[in-house]
Amino acid sequence: MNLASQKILITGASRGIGRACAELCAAHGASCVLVARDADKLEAVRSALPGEGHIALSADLSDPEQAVPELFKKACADNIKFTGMIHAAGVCSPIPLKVVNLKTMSEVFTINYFAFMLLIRYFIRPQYSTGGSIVGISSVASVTGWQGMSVYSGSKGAMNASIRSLALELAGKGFRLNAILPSNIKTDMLDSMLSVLDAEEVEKIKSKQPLGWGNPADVANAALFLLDKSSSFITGSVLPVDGGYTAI
Amino acid sequence: MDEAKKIELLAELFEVDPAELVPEKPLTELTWDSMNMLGLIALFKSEMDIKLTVDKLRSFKVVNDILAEMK
Repeated sequence: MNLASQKILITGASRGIGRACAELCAAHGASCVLVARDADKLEAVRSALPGEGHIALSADLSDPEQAVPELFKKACADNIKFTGMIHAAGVCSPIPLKVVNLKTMSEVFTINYFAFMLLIRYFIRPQYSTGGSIVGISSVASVTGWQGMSVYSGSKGAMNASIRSLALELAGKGFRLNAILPSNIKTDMLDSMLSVLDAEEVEKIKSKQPLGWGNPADVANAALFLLDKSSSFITGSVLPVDGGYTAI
Repeated sequence: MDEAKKIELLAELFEVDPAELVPEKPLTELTWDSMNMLGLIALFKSEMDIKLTVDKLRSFKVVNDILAEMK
């Protein structure tokens, strides 16, 4: 696979899956525009990437109407258009129903779904791209049930559903959209959630994935494939990268 | 946040009558499981914008330990 001469926007790029995607895209020749809230962590990722032409843009996607237009303006100030996008930014907090309210739902949906939609809306503008591949990092929680994760599941389910519709809406304009469904991937986010559980509960979660814990690179490999021309006949799909989680 | 509101939120989390939540009640006499621990983390963040660490969570022994942190 080869992303030479490609320009890829990656949100959530300062850590975890987003960071792994940035590293792999750069290793395959792409220029990456990295987006996250933490400017210092983002710059650390950018400066370590192989290749050239990478940009780090600190942006807070919890206010996407403010953040998205600005980041596209800055990202394309060089007049080089995007060819791909990975939305890896996300909030993954357990919120049992007893604590669900409009505020908690808004926080999750704003970054996981509303920001995703606005990013796509701007991505497809002719001054920013003339076609390309868009990848949403969804979750197996969008197709299976997880206790305490109804809001997160809903936000990722919304992502999947919109990807299917947008794939049809944008196919004629040269855009492909697909979702990746990771299961439990060893990241800071997962470690934080697991730290509350006892050893037996952690083992129970791990046992749902016959291939064990996943790594961010496992998801990045799938994202690379979906960005590359080798997947040029794939759109509107959801691709589990889950160690067998959804096969059980 | 006033005391009545704190009790109301905790009563909903632990699914008990608010009158049961006396300050010295041990959490072991309530449903102090991982789901409710995660719920408490979410509640602190949502209602008070406080990030509850796991260490702090594990230090809670009685209801008043939680009430004291709810600012």
